[in-house]
Amino acid sequence: MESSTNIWGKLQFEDPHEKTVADYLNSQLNFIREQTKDELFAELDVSDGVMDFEKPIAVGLNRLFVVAPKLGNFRRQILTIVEGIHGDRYPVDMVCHVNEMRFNRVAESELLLKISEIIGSSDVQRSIVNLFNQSKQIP
Amino acid sequence: MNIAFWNLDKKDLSDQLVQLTNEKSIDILCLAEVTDGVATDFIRKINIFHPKTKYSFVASAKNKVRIISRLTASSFIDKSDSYKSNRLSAHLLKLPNIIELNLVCVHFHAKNYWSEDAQALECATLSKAIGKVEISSGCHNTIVIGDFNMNPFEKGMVSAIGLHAIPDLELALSGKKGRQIDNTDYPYFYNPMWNFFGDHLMPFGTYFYHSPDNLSYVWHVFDQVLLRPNLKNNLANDYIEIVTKIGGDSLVDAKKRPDAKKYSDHLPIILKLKI
Repeated sequence: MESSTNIWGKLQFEDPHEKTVADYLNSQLNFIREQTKDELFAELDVSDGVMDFEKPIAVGLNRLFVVAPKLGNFRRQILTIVEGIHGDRYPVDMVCHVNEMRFNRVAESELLLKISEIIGSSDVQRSIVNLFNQSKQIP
Repeated sequence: MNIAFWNLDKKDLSDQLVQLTNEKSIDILCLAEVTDGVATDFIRKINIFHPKTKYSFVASAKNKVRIISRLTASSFIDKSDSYKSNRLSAHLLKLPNIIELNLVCVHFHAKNYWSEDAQALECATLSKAIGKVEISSGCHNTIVIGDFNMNPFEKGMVSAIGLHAIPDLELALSGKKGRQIDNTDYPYFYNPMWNFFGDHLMPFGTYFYHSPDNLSYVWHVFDQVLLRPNLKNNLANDYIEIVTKIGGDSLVDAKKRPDAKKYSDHLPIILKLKI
């Protein structure tokens, strides 16, 4: 191979495919801040990880927290969404950390619906309201 | 809430710390054998991922163990002066309406310089210091985490006058004041790290040292978490993890021992609390 050869190939910078999970969640983060008048806000942690199956699989981990700044930045983890676990970015798996809700193989078209189902569940709603009430008690 | 401890063996593992913190959602990170440069570098890198709730050093009069947290600095009240040695950092962590607990971080004397008996004797002083922290803070929800340079079964860890850390949570809960010996009460700690001995599950400990003399335990659990038993209801599922992988990188070598060449000779441990 000559030194003038382009080892980078033809890179495709535009992603013709879908939005990431983080894209969808980031667009939702401000709503809770507005609803709770800054008592609570949502935080998204995005990291890569490896799932240990027979063959390790590299995945993207999206963790959604609700943070209470007046409670020392205490945060409660609401859900984790795992990208790439079935090969492509979608479908994804998601698990709720407040109750036992879990959805596997969620398509991109169903993503926000399933997230709403988890966040709208009575356990998660109660958990967020409790956190809000605890925060409101702090002057 | 997740609390991690890692003895870094003076290595520059700031990138691995970022990955560990993100992957395991660590709220409080306690580090031994870490240089200021590495700790600062880690904070700079992790805060790129956390623009809203930034990680920062927790102020302490003692710095043998450095503590870094995303919780607000004012949540930590320094109680480190209860022990004269630099080897203990103690704080009352106050999250209003959430929880109050004492977080005691330890990097105890190494076996290279201190015999088992010497360590055990010093544990009496350490235990008194922890008692002072509890009296001063008015809180008995205490967590002790760190590199004890002792195994859970050693005299300093188990003896009533030492840390009094036993492997049976129900027994530890049974007596309100702990165990009475000759009219003196000794409160228990629960030590879940006993569960990590043997080759039933990976890893086989947190530290590997195969002594050439007659007596070698081969694997050691020097990195431990001790809990006052009243924290039982705050323990999450699988509340202790000894970490062997960060991202795609294995912290152990082909023989399943801590890869001290690339990473640290100790494996990180994580305590997961349900709050």
